[in-house]
Amino acid sequence: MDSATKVCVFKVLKKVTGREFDHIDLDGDLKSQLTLDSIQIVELFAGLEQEFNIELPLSMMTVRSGNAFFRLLEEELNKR
Amino acid sequence: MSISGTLLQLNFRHIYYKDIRYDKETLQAAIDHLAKYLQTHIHSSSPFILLFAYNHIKTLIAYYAILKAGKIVVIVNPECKPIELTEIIEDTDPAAILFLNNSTLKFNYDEEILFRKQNAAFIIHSNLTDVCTIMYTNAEDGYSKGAMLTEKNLLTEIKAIIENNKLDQNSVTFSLLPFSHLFGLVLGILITTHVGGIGIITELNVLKISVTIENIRQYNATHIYSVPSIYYLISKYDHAGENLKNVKMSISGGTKLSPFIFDRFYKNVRHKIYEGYGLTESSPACTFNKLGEEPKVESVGKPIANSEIKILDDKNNECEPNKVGEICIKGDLVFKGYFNHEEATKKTIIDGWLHSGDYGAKDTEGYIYFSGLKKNMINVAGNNVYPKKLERMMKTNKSVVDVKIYSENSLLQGQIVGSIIKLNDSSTKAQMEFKKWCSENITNSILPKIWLFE
Repeated sequence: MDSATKVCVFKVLKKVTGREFDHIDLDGDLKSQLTLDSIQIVELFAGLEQEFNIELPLSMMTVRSGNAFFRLLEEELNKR
Repeated sequence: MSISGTLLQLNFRHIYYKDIRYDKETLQAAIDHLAKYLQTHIHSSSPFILLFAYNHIKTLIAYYAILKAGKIVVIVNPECKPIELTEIIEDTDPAAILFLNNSTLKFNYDEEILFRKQNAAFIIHSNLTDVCTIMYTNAEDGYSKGAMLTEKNLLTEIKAIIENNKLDQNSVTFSLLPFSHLFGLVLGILITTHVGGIGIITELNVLKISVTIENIRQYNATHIYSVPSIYYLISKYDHAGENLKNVKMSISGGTKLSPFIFDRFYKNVRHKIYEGYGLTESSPACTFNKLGEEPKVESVGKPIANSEIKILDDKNNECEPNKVGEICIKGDLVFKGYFNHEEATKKTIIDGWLHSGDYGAKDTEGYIYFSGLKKNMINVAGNNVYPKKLERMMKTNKSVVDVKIYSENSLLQGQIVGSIIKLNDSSTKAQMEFKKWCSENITNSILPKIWLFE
């Protein structure tokens, strides 16, 4: 993930959680690492879609690994 | 369409709950049975009965049984925790509390109903004539007040929504809104049982969106009532448009719908989402975009039920069109007042005009635009969070030195609650213990999403 994308993802995460993020452990479990509840996950998706003007597949909501999530995000970004 | 003279004259074909079909006769018999049981077991002269309003068929039965027993229903959020519940009990001194076990379909009266054994010395200052339902709200000063809704308020609301949404005996209504909110109660229980059609009772669960969509398709729902987050998820579902092919009207409530969700839903589902506006004190919806007319994006529609709406500036002068001021409402939807809070009632209803505490504007065609909160309140997807009340409740924990509640904007929920907390022990262990205490003692839906410890 390039640094500009990273900055945008952290910006959306801050909006959803109110917390500052400067690092995500891509090998870890995303949901527990970010301590997001189900509504916050939906918020994160909507926020990312609005920020990047993309549509993420519903199936991505069940992806738990950070690596897999950001790989899928990059794939969607490359489709633009 | 004409509406029966009282709330108790029910008119529906059947209601589905968890795939079980309940016809009118079955539900009427259950209502009559519970009403009789309440009448024979109540020893207190208190006019109130508390009802834990789960989205459950038993809540519908209990609501009408309480009215049939001649009592006033006090709606309690089923998530309500000790601090809030104690305050409601002290305020109303109820004759009984219906806790309702939401994990079973059958009533167990002995376990689910708690009766007050005797009368306490309790003075009621408010005139309760015609009051049928009380909902706790408006805690700007830190303490929630019971908004008194009359039978006329609710019948007026039912009639107006049926006309506006073109509901009839062929309608299949599907509400995902919580019964513990007045809009959810009106749409999920009152409209469902007065329109002559079919109703589906279900729960809001973002994790079960495929089940929700399947239910909409399976029951051929014509009117769906939900919140922005669910519409967003539906819009992401493959073939959502096909599953919603019988839907005539999708209504969003709880919080302002963002243009992003409106556009996304229209793009993927080919349906426009309709919005209304209101507050508990206006029964609740007092404006609506009308089915059959193009919904105006970002507008909450025009006044319903012959309500008058004017926009007032800080000096109580009516604003010019499109100028933002306080939304004020007059008409049969305006509530009776706050139970035993005469001063708060006088500040809220002035010369018959309900001062909403919300900012908005009216255009030259009479469409209303909600633009934000004037009152000190945070709206989290329809859950009203009052900073002063939450701060007061948190401060009952002895470890709190100071607490400040604030809000952040949210795309799907309108706003979220943030907190800055100072404890007398700054260790992580103390912070974890405090958060655990909050979740055990304060209603979870009003708790902060953001916890910042100093």
